[in-house]
Order: sequence, then structure tokens, then C-alpha cells
Amino acid sequence: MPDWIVHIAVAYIICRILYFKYPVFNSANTVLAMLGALLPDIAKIGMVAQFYSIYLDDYLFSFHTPLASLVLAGLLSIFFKEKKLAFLFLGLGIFTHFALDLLLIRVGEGYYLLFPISWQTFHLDLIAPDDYNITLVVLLAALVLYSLGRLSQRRSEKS
Amino acid sequence: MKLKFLHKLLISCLLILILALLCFYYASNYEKHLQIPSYGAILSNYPLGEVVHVEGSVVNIYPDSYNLIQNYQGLTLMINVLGPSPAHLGDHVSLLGVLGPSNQIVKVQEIRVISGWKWEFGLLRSFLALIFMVIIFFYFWKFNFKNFEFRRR
Repeated sequence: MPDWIVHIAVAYIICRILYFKYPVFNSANTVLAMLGALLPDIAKIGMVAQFYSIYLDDYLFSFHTPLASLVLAGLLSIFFKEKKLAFLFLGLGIFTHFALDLLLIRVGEGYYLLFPISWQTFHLDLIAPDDYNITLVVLLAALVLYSLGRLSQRRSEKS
Repeated sequence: MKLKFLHKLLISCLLILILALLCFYYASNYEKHLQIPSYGAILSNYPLGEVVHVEGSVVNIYPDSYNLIQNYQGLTLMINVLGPSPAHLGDHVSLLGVLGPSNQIVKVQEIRVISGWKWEFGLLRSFLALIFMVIIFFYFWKFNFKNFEFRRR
């Protein structure tokens, strides 16, 4: 998997770019997309559980499928005032998560994107999962966009 | 539409049930659908001579082989891979290879090595990202206990 910095930074970048045109991609909703970008990796709870000799991997890996992640997003969105909007932004984050994961070089099986309809796996084998240069580039792009956003906000406040 | 507390509870229970069903269906079926058998198959029906997928940390390196260790469902499995090691001690190795007798990989077909520090550095970055995410989430959202929902600050 790309590390979580990449996942949340990519979700942020997409929302920030869209915010220049669509105000609905504001900071609060962007945070939801960033949260959504981590949802499929909730399966990593299994790593923590292993420390306590609880082995849940076989069950939790189902969360790393689009359908289970979207159901989880639906469950979370119930606890937001604007439920549909929350679900859409969490869903956007989930989409970016799988788009990034698909790019990774994997040995063995890919990702079960069509689970439970099909057990067909997918992976594009383009990026090494341990390449931290990707993290640096994505983080830099996010910082540039953040700065641009602040700059344009200040300009609009002055005028 | 404003969902009332009972409606929320009902829908939550329904979605949790769907998630639980998905988890059980996945756990009970994914081994059967693996195109390349892995630890589950090695432990259950030992596909001797077949290509398997194994991964783990390098714990021993010998001139003509190396050992990978992996914790699978609480069982510590040691796999001996024949051939010179492309990795150092502590590195994480994922490979496809032909399974020989006595938990041996006799021929490696595809291998990917992640050095130990990169593996740990990746985990550290993810942990930092998680902390950042929690802080930034509660900076923009607060939980309203009266309505039992998150609202923008």
C-alpha cells in the first residue's frame, strides 16, 4: 500500500483543486474525503490486534474492497448532519484509495475490486510500494496547493 | 430528511450486519479463490510442486539459502528459500516460487524485497498520518451528543 500520507494527501489535492471551482469542496468536506481515503485500510487494525494474539486478518481484509468500504462509509455518514454529502466525500476518498493502490507493484494477488460479485483481482504494477520519493512529491504538491489556497483566500478577503 | 435516533440505530444495525456478512463470506471463501496458493493452502493441503506466494521477514541467511518467517493466524511459519539471498536480515520479502518438501521454496519465479528500514519507515509515516488525521478531523468537526451526529465547527 502507499503510506497513509500519500492517501490523505492525494485526496486533499483533488479536493483542493476542485475547490477553486466548486465551493462544496471546502475544508470540512475535504477532511471527510481524506478520512475516506483511509477507510479501506481499516483492515490494518489486524496488525494491532496481532499484538494481543487476536488474528482477524481473514475477516478484516474484506474491508479492503470497494463494497465493504462503501458500506462502512454509509455507516459513518449516518452520524453526520448532511448524510448524503458526507457519504459522497467519504466515497470520493475511497475511490482515490483504490486508484492509488491499483498502481502498486504487487507480487501475487491484486485487489478484489468486484468482491463479492467476482474474485477477479486487479493490479497495474507501476509503482514500488516502498518508494518514499512518491510521498515526498505528493506531500510537496499538497503543500503548494495549500499555500496557493491561502494566498487566493487572502486576496479575496482584501478585495 | 432528518433521521430519528431509532431510525439511525436500525440503519446502523443493518449496515453492521451487511459488513459482518461480507467479512464472513470473505474469510470463508478467499482461500478457495486464490489464483496462487499461499500459507492457508500450505498448511491445509500442502501443494507440493505448485507455485505459491509466500512473504515474511528474513531471519537467517546461509550461503545457498535463506529463511523467511511469517506469523499466520498465530502460527509462526519458517520457509526456507533455496538460492542466494537478495535481501539482508530484517528485510521484508514477498515471492512467488515452486514449493518443495519441508516448507522449502525450490525455485523462485518472482521476488520483491523491501528493506527493513523502509518497511518500518512506511509504518511510521502511516502512524503519523493517522495522528494528523484525528487532529484535523476534530478541528473541523465536533460531535453533537444531543443529536448524536457530527457537525461542522
